[in-house]
Amino acid sequence: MSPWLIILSLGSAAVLLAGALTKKFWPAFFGLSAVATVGISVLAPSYRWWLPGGAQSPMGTEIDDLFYMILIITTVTYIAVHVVLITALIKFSGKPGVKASFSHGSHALEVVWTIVPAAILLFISLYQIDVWMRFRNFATFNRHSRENPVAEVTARQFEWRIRYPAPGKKLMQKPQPDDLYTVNDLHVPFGEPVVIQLRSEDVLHSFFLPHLRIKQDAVPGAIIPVQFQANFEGEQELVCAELCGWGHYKMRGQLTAQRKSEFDKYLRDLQARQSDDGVSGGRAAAVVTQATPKAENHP
Amino acid sequence: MNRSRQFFGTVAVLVGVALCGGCAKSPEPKFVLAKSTEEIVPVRIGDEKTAVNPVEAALHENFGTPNSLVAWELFPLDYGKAEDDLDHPERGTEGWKLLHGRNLYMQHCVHCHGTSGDGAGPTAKFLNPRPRDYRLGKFKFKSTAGAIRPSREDLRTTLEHGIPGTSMPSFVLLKDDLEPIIEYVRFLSMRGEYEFRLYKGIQGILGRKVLAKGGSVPAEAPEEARAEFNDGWKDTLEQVSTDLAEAWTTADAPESIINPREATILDDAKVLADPKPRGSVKFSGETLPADRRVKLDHKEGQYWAVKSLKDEELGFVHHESLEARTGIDPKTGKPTEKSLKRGRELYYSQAVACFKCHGYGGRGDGPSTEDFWEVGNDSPLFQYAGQKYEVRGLHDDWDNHLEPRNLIRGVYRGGRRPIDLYRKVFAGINGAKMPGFSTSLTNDSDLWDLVNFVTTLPYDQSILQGPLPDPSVQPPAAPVNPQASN
Repeated sequence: MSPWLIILSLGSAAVLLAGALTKKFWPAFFGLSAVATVGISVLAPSYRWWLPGGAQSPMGTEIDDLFYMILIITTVTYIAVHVVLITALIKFSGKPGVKASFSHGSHALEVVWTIVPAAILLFISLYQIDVWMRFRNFATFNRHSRENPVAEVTARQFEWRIRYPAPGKKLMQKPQPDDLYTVNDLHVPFGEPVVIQLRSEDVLHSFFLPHLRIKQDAVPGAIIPVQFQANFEGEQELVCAELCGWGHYKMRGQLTAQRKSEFDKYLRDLQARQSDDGVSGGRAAAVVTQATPKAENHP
Repeated sequence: MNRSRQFFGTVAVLVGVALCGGCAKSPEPKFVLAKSTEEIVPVRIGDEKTAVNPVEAALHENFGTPNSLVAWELFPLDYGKAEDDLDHPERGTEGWKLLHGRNLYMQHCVHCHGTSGDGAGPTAKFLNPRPRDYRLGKFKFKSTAGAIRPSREDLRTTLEHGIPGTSMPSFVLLKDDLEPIIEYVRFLSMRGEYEFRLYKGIQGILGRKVLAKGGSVPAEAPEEARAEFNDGWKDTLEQVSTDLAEAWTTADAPESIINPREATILDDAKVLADPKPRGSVKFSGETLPADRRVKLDHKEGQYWAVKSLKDEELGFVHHESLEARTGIDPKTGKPTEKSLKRGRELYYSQAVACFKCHGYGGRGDGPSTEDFWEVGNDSPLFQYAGQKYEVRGLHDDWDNHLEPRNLIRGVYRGGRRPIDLYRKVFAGINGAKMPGFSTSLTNDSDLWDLVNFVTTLPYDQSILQGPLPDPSVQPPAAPVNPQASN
């Protein structure tokens, strides 16, 4: 335990004790909890209890903007409510000799605190609709990547099984003889939108790329297309974000974003490895000579 | 009044939190003894005053406990020599790799495979198929021939890819940590097999009766009998440990790996031309020693007399084209029609008889799955060898109910590369009922035809259609619905 935490705990205890002794325990309690909540939120990033760095995808940046906007609205509301609450607790607490008065409420006040939050909620729902649509609506995806999904990712207790189409071919819904398979190791070209087909073999899982702010449930029986664009070159985490069984904690994978040329080479190497028949000049050699990279039309 | 209620409330909450936290200490992990070992009655070994279970004593002395492992130099294990590595100060201790492997095993593997590698961890009973019990020294998915132990590379492949169709996940992201885990799995397998083999050794010395509880106790046996036991025991200990060390050393030898046979020796081949030796040849899967390595000219489709470098006649070689040998059309990279046809012929033949287990339709529901099978000599239930299992269907060497693979699903537990499937057809699957066909099908192209047939099945079931090659092989008639025939 760091000395700061000890000092803070002792300080909080002292505030509560002082509150109790001056018959202001509840104002002290709620005041302290509000200060602690705001304080922890401000300190959290420096303890790495916050988002894992800046968003590394365009969609992620927009989702972060939405997140911060909602955070600001709720923070302002939270502080305002606490100011009112503590003021009321101090001002209207019981005093010896003063008889409490009964109020039936204020109609105007009720109308105001119903309409204001409703307006805020309506604003948020309208404001986010565009991002939500582009994240969820298949029709809005980039046409080229929509028609050429890079891989099929099948979640399974407790791993991610990945199926790529053979180089130069399209991903089919049914497995093909020349499909390429890996586990927990998803490679995609970086800097362009890619689409994966998400499936589940057993229970609910959730495909979560925390650094890209992409999260999508995998549902048994459904094929769900997910679009994302990695704005980095290198490796990032892929985790399961839905409690899927006892091994949920270890259901981790790795997303590797690489240059298009390197990605193509990765697939060709994978293909050569997978068609290894141990015969010199056999299938593996045939595959290498066939898979000459073709010029692809990019939109 | 109000103040005291507040006070007691706070105390109650604190006590509740403390109770939830608890103060229990988890029990110390220990290696569990096999049931057979527990049956052994204590014996006085050498000049010892007290009688001990000899197998338990030998295990403890040579392998230790999970918390204090013993590194026995005799075995081909990389225990981890102390290193002067500033980046990894934890590698400074002798045996760091085994310790590190143990820690990782306890974190990632133990809940299925168990502390002693007996495949009986806490989650094991919920899994189908059951996690592997390493103690028999048998591993199904490997590149080595027959009963040879898996190489380190084989264990790595299983860890990296997982086993699709089972609960074994992939650990590919552990990267550098895989090596220590592999060593620890080998350690556990050696320990387990050592235990079973010692039991069989002691059975050989003492006979069955003395092992049973309530039998005569050798501790009280006459002096000569004890001396006889001690001699036999000493030999057994030495024999078993050297055997095991050798078996695991062989596993990593390059000769143990199955590679496709490069050419086929034909007994009745004719010499068509004067051989001009060039290139090397493998005979029936065995690589010849360097001084007998032969050379031949790469002329396809002809028979060549093969001579060793010492000019000694070895036999004849039919050097086929790549297409004829592997049944793959070099232009498309796909199996030729001829190869698929031959594969089907073999599938339904009486000699190879794949259909008996894998079924007439390739769905793993052949007639063998309807039979009652006998307990084998090598199974953990070897005491009951010869008796029949209570459950219909095949059983593996671990006594688990075994379903022949459904070939239509396209899920390959031992890997989906053509070479993986070739090895399965060549050598069978150790511990399971799948036999190898390396001796019955001496022509390599037959093995490849089977591989091609099996790899095509998931995508094209029409290759099953057609008249059956052997009239004695007939699928059972479709059950007649009595109501329909009415």
